[in-house]
Amino acid sequence: MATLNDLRAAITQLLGFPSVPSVLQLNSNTRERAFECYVFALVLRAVRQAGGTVELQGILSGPNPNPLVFRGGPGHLGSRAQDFCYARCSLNGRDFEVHADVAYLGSSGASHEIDVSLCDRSVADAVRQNPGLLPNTRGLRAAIECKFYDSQLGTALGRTFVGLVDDCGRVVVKTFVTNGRSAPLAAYFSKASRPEVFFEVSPLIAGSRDRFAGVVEQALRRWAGVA
Amino acid sequence: MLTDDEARTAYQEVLQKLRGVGAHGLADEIELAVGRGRVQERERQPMQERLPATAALEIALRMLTTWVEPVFLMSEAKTVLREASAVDIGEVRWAHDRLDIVEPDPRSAALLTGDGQAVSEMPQVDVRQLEELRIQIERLHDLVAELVAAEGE
Repeated sequence: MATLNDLRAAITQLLGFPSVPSVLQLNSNTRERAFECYVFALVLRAVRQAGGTVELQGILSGPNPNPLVFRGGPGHLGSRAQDFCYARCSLNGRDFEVHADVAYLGSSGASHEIDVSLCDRSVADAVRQNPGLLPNTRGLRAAIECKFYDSQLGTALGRTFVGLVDDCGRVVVKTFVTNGRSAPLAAYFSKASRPEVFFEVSPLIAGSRDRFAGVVEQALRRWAGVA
Repeated sequence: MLTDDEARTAYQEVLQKLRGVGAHGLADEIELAVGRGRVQERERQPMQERLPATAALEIALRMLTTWVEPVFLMSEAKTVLREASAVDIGEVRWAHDRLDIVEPDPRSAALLTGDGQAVSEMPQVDVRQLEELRIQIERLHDLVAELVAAEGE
């Protein structure tokens, strides 16, 4: 049974670990972007698991950019302000791209920032010819909302995301992913037709990340007609 | 099992230690979540409830372990990206999209750090250190699980 001294020792040991104090000082934006990058990577794993190909691209430098530059906030898919990276993928004849933090134009005419998205390559290519334009959600295939756990994982986040995907036409993957957990949010998403929610997607918790990648993989297989 | 007084003491010590290592933001976030009660969202009627000391301690410890996660996230993201793309992944940076800002060409490298802080500043932790850190976090997770179990009895 845990004692006060056990707790004190465990906390002191953790805080005494060399890199921990500096990690604890990262701001919330940095934590959110790190989580989005992780989910972006898991989506690419799903593409590979489905039998697809993946090539990382820099919008300025081309294939295999180094360093990888992600958006630090919502931006334009066609922006050449930095060497923003994305992934070019193919699966059973379907060509598409995976992006992080890109804004899309919903069917209502409103713009929506999507944390991790998957869109047809033809749509992305067209937007890169006109970098000021937003891609239309007609070419959007996956919309993934990422949320690094904080104390505010309330149902309001779920409602916002439901409103977003309702304005995005027919997407094959619509999921809310967090490394935290929330009973109210779970109850909110449990209703049929709402986006799927994945809690505790984390390198520290075995199982959840694989389940998420597996669900994305299956959705991509169905979409691309992969047996 | 901790008594209410012990849980309260431990909670205060966690906050004090966090501030001691410069993690003021996390300490403040924990206090926001715990100190004045937690708002429970209900379908129609938001309500506030006082938290028992053990529950407050649990929230503090869960937030502490979660906030250490970015080093694991980035380490595993690089591994997964390398496996998926079959190329070595070097540095990962974050930059704000400054489409609306007219910049001289070539653009300043300073832009790459975006607003305030970039993940490229994240401490580098090697595989052996990550494993040690993982063990320490799992130890804390186990202790939190014991706390929660005892609370439910």
